[in-house]
Amino acid sequence: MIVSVNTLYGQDLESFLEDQMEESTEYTTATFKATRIMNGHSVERMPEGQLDFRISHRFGRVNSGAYEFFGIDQANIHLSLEYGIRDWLMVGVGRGTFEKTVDGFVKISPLRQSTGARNMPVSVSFMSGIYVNGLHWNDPERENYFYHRISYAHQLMIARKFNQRFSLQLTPSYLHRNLVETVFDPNDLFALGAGARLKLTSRISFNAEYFYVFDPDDRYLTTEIHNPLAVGFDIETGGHVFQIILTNSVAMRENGIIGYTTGRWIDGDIHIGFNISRVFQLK
Amino acid sequence: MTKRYFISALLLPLSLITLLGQGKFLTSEGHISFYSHAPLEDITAVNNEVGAVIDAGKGEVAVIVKMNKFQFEKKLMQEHFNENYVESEKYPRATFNGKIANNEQVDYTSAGIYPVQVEGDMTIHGVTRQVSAEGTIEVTGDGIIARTEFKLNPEDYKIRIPGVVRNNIAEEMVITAELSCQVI
Repeated sequence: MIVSVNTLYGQDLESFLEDQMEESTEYTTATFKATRIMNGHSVERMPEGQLDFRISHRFGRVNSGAYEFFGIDQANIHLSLEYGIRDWLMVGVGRGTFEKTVDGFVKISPLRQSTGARNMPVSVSFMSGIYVNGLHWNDPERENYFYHRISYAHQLMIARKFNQRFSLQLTPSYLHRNLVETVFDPNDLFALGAGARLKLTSRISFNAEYFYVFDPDDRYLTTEIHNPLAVGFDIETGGHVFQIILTNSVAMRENGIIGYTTGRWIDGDIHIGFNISRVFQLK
Repeated sequence: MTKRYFISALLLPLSLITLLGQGKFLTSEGHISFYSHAPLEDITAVNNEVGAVIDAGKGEVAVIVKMNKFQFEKKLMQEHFNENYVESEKYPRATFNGKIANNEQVDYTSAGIYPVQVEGDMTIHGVTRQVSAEGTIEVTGDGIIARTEFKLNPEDYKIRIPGVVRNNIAEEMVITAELSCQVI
């Protein structure tokens, strides 16, 4: 008789049980910690019945010097309420300082990364946003229509959580402005975003996000724009997700991030910012 | 012919009894829940996809719990449970391998509720500990229902609960299991 000394109790029974259990589908969770990577949307959404109250700030440029307390004297704020109607459908409304904009969006998540019985290599979400500029008309003499205030963004988020520490997302984006400053400014802008999350501890991750904006021909643009880059940390405290950010864009919505990032990192046009997400369970 | 049928008819219940007495009982839809009572919050989570097998002849028990199948009322809490506490991507399952110490006192062939003492190795979060618990085995017409309730300290399994949530998460969890197994 050979008796195994390593295992006190029958491992055989466990492997027998393993063979009997049906393979289930394991959905990937927490590809990103919040519904935003930094400035832009992540593939994540609010689960059904949860309300996310988000408070975001972007301060002025750090290179504005000590007189402006390195930008902290000039705060841009964005407030939003975002709600999960279904696990795959969320909506949100918000108001931001940038162009006194009122905004709304719908986000759907048709595909979720999974392994096991159903194998899906990526998660996919789609976001459509509408942004209403609330500034006074800069030329009140002209015939101004309400739709001139409106711009739209559509984004596809394709993300993969490669392992429990690293997630990557690609974000093809399209932005349409009904009214631009001059005939030389494009009404349509295309951009390709890329975002990543690297988990440092179970509660802290390092995030980075970049948008490459295709061909905004700077020779003709009224305002020179640059590609937005944001880096920062997600700090999760249970109920809250706190994101601290360094970015060259002052706006916190797609119309401003993609269409109106005027700062350049190499010139020190960097804004310190943060997002606070507080989640309430409504049902 | 009639005789042969008669003999088979006699043998059938006999063979069933031997089967029940010596066989294995299995489920892949067992229920395990845990309950945490803390000053600020009571938390309950339920897992209805627990795999369990009981070898009646040897008195051995094996249980597999997929950690990401615990359902919480708050989805965010469920995410925290998997991401920050039990790290279910790194340690996808908890297991129990053990035996029924007083297996000879359980008559798997006659209906009734039998108190049992179970002991064995429990592995959660990659940490294996020897544990024992009291429970019951109810022998029913078509299978058995194993029930137990015991307390578990997450710190024993290196599941760290930070001080800031001490008022939300109890130091000791109450684990309740109901494994309704069919004969195989």
